[in-house]
Amino acid sequence: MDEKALLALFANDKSKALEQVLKTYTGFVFAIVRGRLGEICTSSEIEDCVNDVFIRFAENLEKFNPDRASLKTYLGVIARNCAANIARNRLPTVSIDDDLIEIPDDYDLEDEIAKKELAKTVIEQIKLLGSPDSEILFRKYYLGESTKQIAAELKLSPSNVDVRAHRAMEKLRKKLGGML
Amino acid sequence: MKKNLSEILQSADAETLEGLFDSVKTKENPTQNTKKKPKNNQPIFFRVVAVAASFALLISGAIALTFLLNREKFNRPSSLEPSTDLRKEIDTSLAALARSENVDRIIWSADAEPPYISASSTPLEELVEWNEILVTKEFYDRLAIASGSDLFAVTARPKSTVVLDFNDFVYEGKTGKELDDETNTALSLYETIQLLKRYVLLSDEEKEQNEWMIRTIVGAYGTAFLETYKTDEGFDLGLISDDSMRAETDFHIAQSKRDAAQTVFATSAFPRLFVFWDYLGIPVYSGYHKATDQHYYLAVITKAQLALLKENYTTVEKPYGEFDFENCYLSMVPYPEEDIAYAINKYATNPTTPVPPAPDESDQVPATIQE
Repeated sequence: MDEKALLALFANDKSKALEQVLKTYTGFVFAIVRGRLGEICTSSEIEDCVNDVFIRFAENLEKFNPDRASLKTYLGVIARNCAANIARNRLPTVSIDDDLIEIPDDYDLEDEIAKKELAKTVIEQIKLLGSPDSEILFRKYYLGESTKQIAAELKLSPSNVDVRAHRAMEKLRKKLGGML
Repeated sequence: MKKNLSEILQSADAETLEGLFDSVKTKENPTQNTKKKPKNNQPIFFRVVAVAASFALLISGAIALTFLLNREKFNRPSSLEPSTDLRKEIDTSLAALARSENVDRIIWSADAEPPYISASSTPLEELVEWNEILVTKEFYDRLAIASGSDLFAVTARPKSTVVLDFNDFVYEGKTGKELDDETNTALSLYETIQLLKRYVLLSDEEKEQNEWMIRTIVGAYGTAFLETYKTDEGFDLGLISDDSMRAETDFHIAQSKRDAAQTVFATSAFPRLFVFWDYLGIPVYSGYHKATDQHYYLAVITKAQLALLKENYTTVEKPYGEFDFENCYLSMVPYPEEDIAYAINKYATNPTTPVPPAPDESDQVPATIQE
């Protein structure tokens, strides 16, 4: 069942639609959760996290706006956030200098709208990097996947992933330098 | 001010992220029913074992598939020495290249991958055969209009379809497989101690519901493992915490060593060609990209020398094994400005390090491949 049909089903039979969402997207959600937690959580904890993603989705269904994002993306964001919450409690946050981006001093990072706009600008530039660099940065810095996992998913060597990530960050900094 | 990319991306809404999740490949669902199961309805231990078995099947299936999907096995001679030994054969740094009188004549790539990128992302359809050797399309086009004396800066890379066998690679006395196993063992121990720590911190009621934790630990390491942390008053949380920190450190050490070995391994297959070129007198320079800690080689070769590469290759002794022409290709490289600056600075700031001599780019060319 494609996404359009699935959304139509929500209007007629919510429980059936939710069942179909589970059927269609469990593998996708599982991939994101395992990517983040695979090295620090047990199998059952990963399974619990996947379940929590769908519970959270069902509880916040009214917030989903199909005009703004696809169902897949919406679930992906929930999955990433659920997994990130667990990961945050398990492993100490390590600051990586390679990850730093220069922001003008007058940028108000307390303002939610400004933060969203900044993220939008950065993501647009990441998308423009093209494949596989955009995927590497997205997986590394948004999904929180390890170099090894990214290498396995994208069929690259771990050292190539690191090198590409480093180069992509350099490109991104250069591009953003004139935009922020 | 500076901000982490991870933090910036956290604020992105779903609309902005549209399309980026497309690269996430759906994994086989390890469970049949993803609805939340009541904790006490069935023995969780069996559920954990079943899920673990599913994972094992999933992973082994994925590995098998990777090898089955048109991957060519890289022809690695058993006598291959670690690249660190090979590097000693060539000690001409990029600093010497900068001093070379021919540096202004070299043709550099406009858009190829930098020389420190060892693994290729060039699609197979962009590789073209030129005088029995595979080259990139860009290199092919430049060779087509070049004169015999035009100088090119080139490097060699394996095809993107080549799977290198890390398992047999020896790094500091251990094979890749041993280093992988050590990393996994260290991770497993760390995870198990963490699991024990989580169990100890549970309330008595929660402990009853989570006896699977103890069964998992005993299943993996035996009862003797648990006994080491037991006192008359129960589990010694202090000792568990200390061991957890130690196990985490051990894991990171093992992981670093394995990663270092993988980096050396990824670059080790290519020095063979450069050693061969060096024997022929073709100038070869060793480069180092500091930001990514990557070592590499690049050769400066004329079109005429390149045309005779395959022919000359058969006549020269190759103590480090054969270069795999079928699975590797040559590519031009962009001017490594940053690395040259680093090399010059290194020799300028360390007076005890002798500046490597610039190779004589005319006298050393054997008669067989002179124009």
